[in-house]
Amino acid sequence: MSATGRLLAVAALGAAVWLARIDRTVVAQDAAPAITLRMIVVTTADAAQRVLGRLKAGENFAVVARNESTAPSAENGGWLGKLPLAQLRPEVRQALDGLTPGRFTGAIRIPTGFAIFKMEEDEPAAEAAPGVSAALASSGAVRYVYDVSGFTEARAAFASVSKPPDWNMEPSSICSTRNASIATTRASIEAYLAPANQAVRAARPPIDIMQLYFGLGQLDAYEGKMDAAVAHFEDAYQIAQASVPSGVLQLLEALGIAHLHKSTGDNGVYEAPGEYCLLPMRPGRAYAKTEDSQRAVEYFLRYLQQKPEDLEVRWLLNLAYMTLGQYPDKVPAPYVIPPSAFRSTEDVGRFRDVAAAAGLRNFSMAGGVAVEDLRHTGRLDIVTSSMDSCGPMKYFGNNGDGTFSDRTEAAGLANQLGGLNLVPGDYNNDGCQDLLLLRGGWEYLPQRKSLLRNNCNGTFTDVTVAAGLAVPTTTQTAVWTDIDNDGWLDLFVGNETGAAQLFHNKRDGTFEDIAASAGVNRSSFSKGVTAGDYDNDGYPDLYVSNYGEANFLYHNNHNSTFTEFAAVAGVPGTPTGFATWFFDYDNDGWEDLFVTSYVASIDEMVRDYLGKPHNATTARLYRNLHDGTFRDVTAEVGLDKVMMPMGSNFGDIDNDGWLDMYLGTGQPSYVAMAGAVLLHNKEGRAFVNVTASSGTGELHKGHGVAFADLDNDGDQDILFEVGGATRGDKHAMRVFENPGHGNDWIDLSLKGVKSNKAAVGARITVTVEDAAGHQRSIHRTVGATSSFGSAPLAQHVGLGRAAKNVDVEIWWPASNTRQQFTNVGKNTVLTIDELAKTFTASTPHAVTLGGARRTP
Amino acid sequence: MIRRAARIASLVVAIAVVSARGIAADTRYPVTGMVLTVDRARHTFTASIDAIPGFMDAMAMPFTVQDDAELAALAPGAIVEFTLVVGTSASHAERVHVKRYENVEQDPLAARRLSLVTQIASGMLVNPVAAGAAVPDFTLIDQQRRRVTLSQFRGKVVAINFMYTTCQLPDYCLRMVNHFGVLQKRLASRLGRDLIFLTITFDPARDTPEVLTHYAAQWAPISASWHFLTGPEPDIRRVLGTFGVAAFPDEGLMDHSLHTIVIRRDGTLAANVEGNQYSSDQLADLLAAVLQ
Repeated sequence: MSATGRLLAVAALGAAVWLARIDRTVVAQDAAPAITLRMIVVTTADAAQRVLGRLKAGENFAVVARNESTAPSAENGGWLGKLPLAQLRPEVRQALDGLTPGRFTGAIRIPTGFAIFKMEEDEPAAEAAPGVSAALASSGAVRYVYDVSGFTEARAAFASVSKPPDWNMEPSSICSTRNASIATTRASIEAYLAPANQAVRAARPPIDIMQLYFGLGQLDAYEGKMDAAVAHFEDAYQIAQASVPSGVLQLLEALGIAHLHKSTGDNGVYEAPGEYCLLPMRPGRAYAKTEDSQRAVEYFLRYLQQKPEDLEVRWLLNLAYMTLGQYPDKVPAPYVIPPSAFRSTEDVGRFRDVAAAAGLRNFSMAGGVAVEDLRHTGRLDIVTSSMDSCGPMKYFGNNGDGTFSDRTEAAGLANQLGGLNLVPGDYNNDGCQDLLLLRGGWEYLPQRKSLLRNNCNGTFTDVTVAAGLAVPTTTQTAVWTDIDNDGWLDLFVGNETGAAQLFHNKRDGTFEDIAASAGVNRSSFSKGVTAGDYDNDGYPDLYVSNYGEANFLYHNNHNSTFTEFAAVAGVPGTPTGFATWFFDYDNDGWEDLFVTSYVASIDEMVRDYLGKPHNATTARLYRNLHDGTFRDVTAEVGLDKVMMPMGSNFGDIDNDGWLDMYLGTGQPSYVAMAGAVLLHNKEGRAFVNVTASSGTGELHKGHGVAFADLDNDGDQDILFEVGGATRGDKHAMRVFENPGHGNDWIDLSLKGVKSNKAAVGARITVTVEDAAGHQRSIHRTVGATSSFGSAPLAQHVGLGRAAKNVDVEIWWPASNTRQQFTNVGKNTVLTIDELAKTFTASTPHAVTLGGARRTP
Repeated sequence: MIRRAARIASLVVAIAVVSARGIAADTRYPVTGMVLTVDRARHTFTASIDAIPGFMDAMAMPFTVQDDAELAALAPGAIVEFTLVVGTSASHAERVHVKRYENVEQDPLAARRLSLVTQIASGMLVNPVAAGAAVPDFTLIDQQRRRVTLSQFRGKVVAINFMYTTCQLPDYCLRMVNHFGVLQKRLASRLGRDLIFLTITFDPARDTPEVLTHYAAQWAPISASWHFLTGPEPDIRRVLGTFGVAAFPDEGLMDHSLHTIVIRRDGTLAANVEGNQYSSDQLADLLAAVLQ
């Protein structure tokens, strides 16, 4: 495809804003089919027929376009240039199918009117008209999930009530302000709807009264009071039936989903999910109490009688039948989503959730997770956060016997409330990972962060104000990285409103925001930031994943300034960016880049499951080309799937040395049950979906993900902080124990001396031979992890089967030195200090997660 | 206005044809359209109607009512349904019914609900400025960072719509703004001279003048007569409140209601059209009526 084509591919993604950001010098690599077109748009079907008549009579298309078209391309005789087919709306694609140069289509309905296209011969030099494709873009016409959860109502209430001064500077006052906002709003609506207020009510149109009952139900749903929510939705439904007939259909769906959510809650599945809510649910696993699931089925069927083509409600119907143990047999044939849609083509062994057995009982809303040896016990502890403004962090201390104990109070973290994400980092170089808790994500109301200094004994001290980090922002993403290689970790924070912040570490426990002078203070709705040295020049670069705008790639100029290169480097991301990370998925020694696409549409996802064309922008995998640019390899590795990812991360599930990924999914609505996805990396050539066979398809809302070997048995388990964005959507954490695959491994625990103590940014190359003597290299970077998830600093490296002659090379950032160790052994933990000539090796003591409490 | 004249002329021909055929009994047609003007003294309203299949094209035309009560609820911009009764020598409209905008698509519905909920929670249901009342003045910043004040356009008709640049749903923001894009050509002779377009963002945090410049480029706006406006959040909120526009952030997008505003030359509100169920032709007819 030409450079012009690439330009339009990006333009077609939606916002014209993008055009300005995409440099015209980008070298196009994408070989997707494209077609050269002219277009006429008119506003009515009649006008389109008149235009078609003139064209059939032989009038020149370009002349008619200039005179009649209402599209901006009219000026250029309707010239659109070369458009990639995949980026066009499906109805446009369909109309273009089989068209030959010189011929034109019939009239096609598009959002701005009726379009007629003419295919032209390809002209390599043809220049595309900018901004032409917004109405044609495939990504535009997406059915977003129906919001039944009260998330937006509760937030609007929070935003609109008056608040005490400095309410956002203390976790406890954020909590009390939010509680008050919900109570006040509920009381006001109830008073308005009270019988005594009948005269005032009567003056409002029925749709408003219907809306207020629905709003009350939403606040009930927010708080998890599903009986009350159902009752209020029924009130709204009665009004709709009597006076707002066009609202009936939506309320049928709302009632169905309310009953399904209630059914899952009443059956205790959110608190003790076990084998339930793993997609696809195994046959015969019916909920014990079935009444609400049956009601849900009835509502969904009534809905589908009127709108059988609705894929979102079809999906929900299938899920409701799963909870009854009647999937797929009892699902009416026209609506069934066949089990084959979920089948894994590969078996990596079945993981098992051992969270409850191991004492990791964390029942919370959406949040982050950190796994680290926080007390220097040689064992991994676990910390979680929750976006519930009144929900505390949790600290689970590793007992060393496969069980954990809740040490939240002892750690001094019980008053750390709220925070959608948390990011560990040793800011004061004392060798103990500190914690940064991030608040305000998705809230639109700036709130204080918390920097929690680890006292190296399992207790923490809130040093936010003293460190100079207390300025409230709306954030859920930050990354610790040493931008100037001075041996101290700096902090880059992405915000949803307002400029990004770059806190330079002043080595005395305080920070200075240098974002403006460093040139990284762009404002965007940033959902993910990550760091990695993509051009191997020895300094970390920064990447920002934005929702609603093109992403930023900040190249480090080695002088505490950065230059934005996303367009030049070919990594614009998606218009719906969320979690992101650098990793070397193809083990070539160069950091590749993954960025998720948060298109919250069950409809689009189901299209994908059913093998139908979809309209959603998918995640992007960018392969490093070793020259400062990247190539989009999303489709060729099979990642062009609609998955609704939120928190997600990478790790090596089978110790083959290739990095796999696990994507949590969802959206606040109780409709948004998409199912987490586990993707197995096939030697850097493809990612294969192994969700069903691995038993990791948690249906509910996935946030922080961490891969870590919790039981010291030499393979990575998956920790998964599950829970939604409302108090009525809490969920138990999942800890999926790895079944093991018989491959070898090595763990590398690095300590910086000149470089930062945590060794963040150190590059590891492990070279290994297999039984046949074939040699290969595996590459890892200390500290590399997802922006919405975390990983222990110690690097776990899978070596494959029967590994031998294992060599390790380490490059250190601040000293710019290399260490090489040959024949280091395998299935062992190496501890290596910067500049040292030797290392120490140890063998960890494997335990059974759940210990004595484990049921067979 | 040649086109408008032509459309009205064709109506006359259509009725003449019907009359000439000598149809004895009255013929009744269900009609939908947008009200342009209401003339109670003459017992008429004009409306830009959708095509009546088999009878006439979409056009703007006056309708007489036999009962003045039929006019009571009508105002410019209202979407109406009525029955057109065509007799041998005359026609009239009856059963005129204002079609209340009840878009139950999730986005506008949620926005209206959130607006109601928050207004009730803060103790007051705010009434937007009424038709005929003076529109409170406001000052915002356009895509070229020029200060734009509503009152500077006194003596001209001002049309306003609302959007945000990251809007994902093409039937909403894109469609609304595109109406101005279409009319910019059709009303080229009036635009700037006695007609001004304002497109106001409800997401000022993201929609800076630079962002608006790129967004606006889709329609190549004539910058002197079509301003894309942003400004401080409280100022935007006040303007939205003036016209009853609801907009709430939701996971990176915005739930919002759909409004198109027409302000008379004297600064009073001519019409507040809610929804997206009208055509650019109907909006052109409404503007033409207010321009007269």
